[in-house]
Amino acid sequence: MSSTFSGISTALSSLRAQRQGLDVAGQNIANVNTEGYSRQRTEMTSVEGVSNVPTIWAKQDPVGTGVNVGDITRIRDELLEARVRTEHGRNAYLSGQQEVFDSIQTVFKEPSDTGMQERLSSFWSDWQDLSNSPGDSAVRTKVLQQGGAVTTALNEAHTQLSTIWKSARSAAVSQVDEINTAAAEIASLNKGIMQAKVGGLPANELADRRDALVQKLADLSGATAKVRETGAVDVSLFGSTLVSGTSSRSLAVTGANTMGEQSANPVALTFSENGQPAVVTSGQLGSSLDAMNSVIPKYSKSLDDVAAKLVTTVNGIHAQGFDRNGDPGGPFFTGTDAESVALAITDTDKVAASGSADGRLDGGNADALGDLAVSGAGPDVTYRQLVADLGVTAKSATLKAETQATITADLDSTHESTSGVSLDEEMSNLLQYQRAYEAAAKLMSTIDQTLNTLINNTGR
Amino acid sequence: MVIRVTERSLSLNAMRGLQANQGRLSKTEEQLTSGKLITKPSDSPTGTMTAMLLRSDMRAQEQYGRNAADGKNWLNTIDSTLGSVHDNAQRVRDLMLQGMSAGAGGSDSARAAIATEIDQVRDAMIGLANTKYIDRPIFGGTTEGSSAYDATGTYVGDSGSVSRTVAEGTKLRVDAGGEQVFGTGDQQIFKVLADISDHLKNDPSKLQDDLDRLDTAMNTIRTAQASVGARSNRIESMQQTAHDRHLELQSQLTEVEDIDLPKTITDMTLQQTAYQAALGATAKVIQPSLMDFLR
Repeated sequence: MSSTFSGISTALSSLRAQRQGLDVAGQNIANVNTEGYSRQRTEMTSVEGVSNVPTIWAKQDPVGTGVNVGDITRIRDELLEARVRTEHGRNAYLSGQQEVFDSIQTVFKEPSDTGMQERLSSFWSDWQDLSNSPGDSAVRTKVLQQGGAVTTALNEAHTQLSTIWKSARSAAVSQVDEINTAAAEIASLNKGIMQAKVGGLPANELADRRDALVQKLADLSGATAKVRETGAVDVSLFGSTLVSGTSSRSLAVTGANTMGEQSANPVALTFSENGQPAVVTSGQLGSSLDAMNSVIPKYSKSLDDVAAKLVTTVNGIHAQGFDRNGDPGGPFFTGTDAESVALAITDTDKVAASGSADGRLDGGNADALGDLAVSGAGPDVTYRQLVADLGVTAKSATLKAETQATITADLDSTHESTSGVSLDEEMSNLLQYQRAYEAAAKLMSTIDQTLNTLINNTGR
Repeated sequence: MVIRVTERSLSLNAMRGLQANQGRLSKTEEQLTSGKLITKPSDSPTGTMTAMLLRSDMRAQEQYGRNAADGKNWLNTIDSTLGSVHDNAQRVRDLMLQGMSAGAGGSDSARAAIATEIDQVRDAMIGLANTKYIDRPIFGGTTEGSSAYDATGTYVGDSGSVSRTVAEGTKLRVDAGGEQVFGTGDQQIFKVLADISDHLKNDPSKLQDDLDRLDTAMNTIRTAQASVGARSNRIESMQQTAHDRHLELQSQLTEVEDIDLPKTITDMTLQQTAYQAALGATAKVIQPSLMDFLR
């Protein structure tokens, strides 16, 4: 048989529990739009009247003695979150690649009336004009000018690629800075969470902040995370530990500072404490590294091939001709790559338009150079190959990025529907707790009245 | 399992849909304002390739057209010059026959007068043989000098030839070598004329021989004129071909590169409607909550 006043304490426990429930619902409603907030739930358990360890002579209540408020838990799905992180890393990588390709495509403005193809066509066309009027120094000047325009276009394209490379380099440096800051912050939040857990204090908000940082690391570098018993999270970077409990390591970017140095000294990542190499193949940083070490150098190399082809083809034919003074043609272009290519001559008389030595008004050699416009082996072909390759690769990068963006958004949506706050749900919770509170109060007043009957009215 | 839908996931999805709608709209708008279907290689890698090839081909055809026009001018200049030369030679032949005939025309004084006139005609013909097209003597080959024949009627040009590329791999000769048109050695027309003038004055018996030589020289000029005419016809048709090909390439390029205006405008309207519908739906879905119904 339970004690006379036990009903009051049961009602009290319920009043407390429902109040707690209202508070949690309030917190959820307050954070309905907070990014990274996980909805919280009050875990209530009934207090049993019977002990699960039966003993002789012990008195057992047949009814339970109220409700107990346990932990306030965050609703999360660890497996889903691990997937969200992986896909976010991949998404950041692919959209980074798409951006790189977009900026490379602005360097090669094709098809257009102003791109490199057009300049080359004008150049060949001018040679034909020169073949029509070999004696006209105005036409000779035009050929030189247009040759200059072609070399300038090559030089500019090279400079633009270097600039894109440099911006990828500085992006990598700032991404590494962000990673280091986030890793250090995760370690310090881990410490706070572990201490709170030991002290039995709630640390849900700290954990939310930490998980948002882990998510950021996944975006930046494709890092993966693992929750420990202690409540701390370990973050690893493709097998190497970045954050372990309360300690974190930091990364540094090493290697070339300009695109020119890249082939001899590729850009790499190391752990700053011991100089060991670090691997990052996903996330924004992975994309920056790939851009610097493979994508941009590839197109820079193709551009160099175009320049080299231009120099060898034009110089080869130019050397077979004779200039205005009857001397054999010298080199028309100098240089070996897109950076160094330039006009070799400035004197219009040195343009070897003639196909025979005695300085006559023959345009045979200029005609041969003009014929390069339709040749199947000229620099035009090399250039078109470059643009074709760029177009196909950029298109595939765009498609991949679009697909991945959809996958990522779907996962985000699933994650949000697991951990997000639903106002309708919270409103109904509010109602439930409110009614339960009212009922508990009613219980208390009922017991009070019962006792009143017993104490004040019995034996009158 | 019933999928739990929260306010944030609703609004995230709505935003994603609206963004996608707007993205499509902006792409269509870009196409409409630029008039181009392809603005960067990744829009259509094959289209880009075709467009680049077509453009380079168009430039080549344009140049062939220009080369042909220049060549045609050369040949036409030569043609009309040769016509005048032949007329002059015909005049000499008439005068000669007059000088050879008996009677008043055949007297010594009359022959001297005819010889003087023939000298005049000869000078005029040397002038014609030095006709220039854009500062170059048309019968002088590739000479840098300003004339093909000097005042005495000696050839001072060279044996080079002038040709124009009028189609891929097709080069047509657009000049006529002075030595081929006017002959060489004793058959050279200016030499023949000088001899006629000399013989009229000093040795009329040789005039019959001279008449044969003159006929041969005139025949050579006519042959050259026929060849020039034939080449002129050919180059004209090549010019037309280059022009037609250019137009054809232009229309192909338009097909590859330019937008289909009615289709794009229809697309744009459809997308605008879809966007407005999405906006309306979003406003309706996000708005209500249980709170609207609890009092």
